[in-house]
Amino acid sequence: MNCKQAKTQLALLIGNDLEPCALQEVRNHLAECVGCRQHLKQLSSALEVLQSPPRSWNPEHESVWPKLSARLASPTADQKPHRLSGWAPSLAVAAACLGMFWVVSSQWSSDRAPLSGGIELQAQPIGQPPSFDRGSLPNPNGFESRRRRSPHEPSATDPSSGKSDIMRFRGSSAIPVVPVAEPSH
Amino acid sequence: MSDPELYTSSPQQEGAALSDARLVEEARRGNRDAFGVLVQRYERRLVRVLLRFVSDLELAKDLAQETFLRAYVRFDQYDPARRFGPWLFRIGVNLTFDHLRRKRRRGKWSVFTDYWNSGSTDPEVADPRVELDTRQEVELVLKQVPEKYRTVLVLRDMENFSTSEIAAILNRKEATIRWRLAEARNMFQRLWVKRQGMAPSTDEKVAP
Repeated sequence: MNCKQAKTQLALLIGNDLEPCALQEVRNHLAECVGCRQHLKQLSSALEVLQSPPRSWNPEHESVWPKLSARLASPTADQKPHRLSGWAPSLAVAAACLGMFWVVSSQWSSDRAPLSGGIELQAQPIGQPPSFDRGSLPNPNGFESRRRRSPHEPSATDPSSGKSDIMRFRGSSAIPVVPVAEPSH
Repeated sequence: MSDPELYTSSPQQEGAALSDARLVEEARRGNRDAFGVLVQRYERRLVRVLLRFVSDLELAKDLAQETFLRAYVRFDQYDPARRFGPWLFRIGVNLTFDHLRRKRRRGKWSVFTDYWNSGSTDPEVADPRVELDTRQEVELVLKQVPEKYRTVLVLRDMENFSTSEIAAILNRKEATIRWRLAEARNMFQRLWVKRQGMAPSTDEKVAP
């Protein structure tokens, strides 16, 4: 037996966990090894510290049974938790997201209906490009045309100037035009 | 090496005369009084064991309560040919380890809770170790021992379970438990000597 093997056996010896058949071999090694005798002493001291009494707790005054019996008395206590019960919050959130998606998408498609509904493709013989009535095309400025406009609201395109609101805005406010005084002669 | 009396409380306690097997059988049939006797028989030791791992009495009691509840719900999985004690403690130890793993995953939060739960942080105290008693010193050193070794060390040397009982609790072979126990004792000895700054003495002690 070498010292490495002896240290394993010594660690079992101090707690009376060593197999009886290994005891004599360990004793023989200890008789001739100073280092292992020293190790045995340190192991014994460490074990003594480890076996110090635990903190006190008095179950007579703090028994878990009253709370436990109350839980057992509840109708769901002795039922096993359902396999999917842990997923319930996630499933609920997913269902809510799907519901919101359905509501939003249905509303969006109803908003788009006049745009797509205005185009009616005519059945054409094969080989000819499809033609459609130009009058059925939606207004290219669709969003503006579909928006309910008050009679006093100016249109996006000013017929007098021929410029759009945006162009006028850019021309008047974003880059203010400063009148340049002509040099006096 | 196994000591069945370790699982039982004092003889004066109600129902101590009934065997575990009889009480378990009654509890499986829905007799809550029988289960109550089992709870009162094992709770002291269960809480004490769990307290070795979580260092918080209220948490240990909550985990013990959860352990008993789980045992009650899973009585159909219990093999009556085996002893009730190791089966119960296996549930308790597994629950506690699950809790500790979850806590480790929430590491950044436990840093704050550990701070508030820790002892004196008074900067006036030059060496905090002065304020610690032996039990706290042991807990600090034990935390440095890897979990699978620490568990065996706690159950054997601090709670006096036999190696065969530990094998049943941890669902391992007894030879594995013995090997881990030897490793754990050597680890603890090295760490303890290091913490205490103990210089190796020259006097010898004759082997028993």
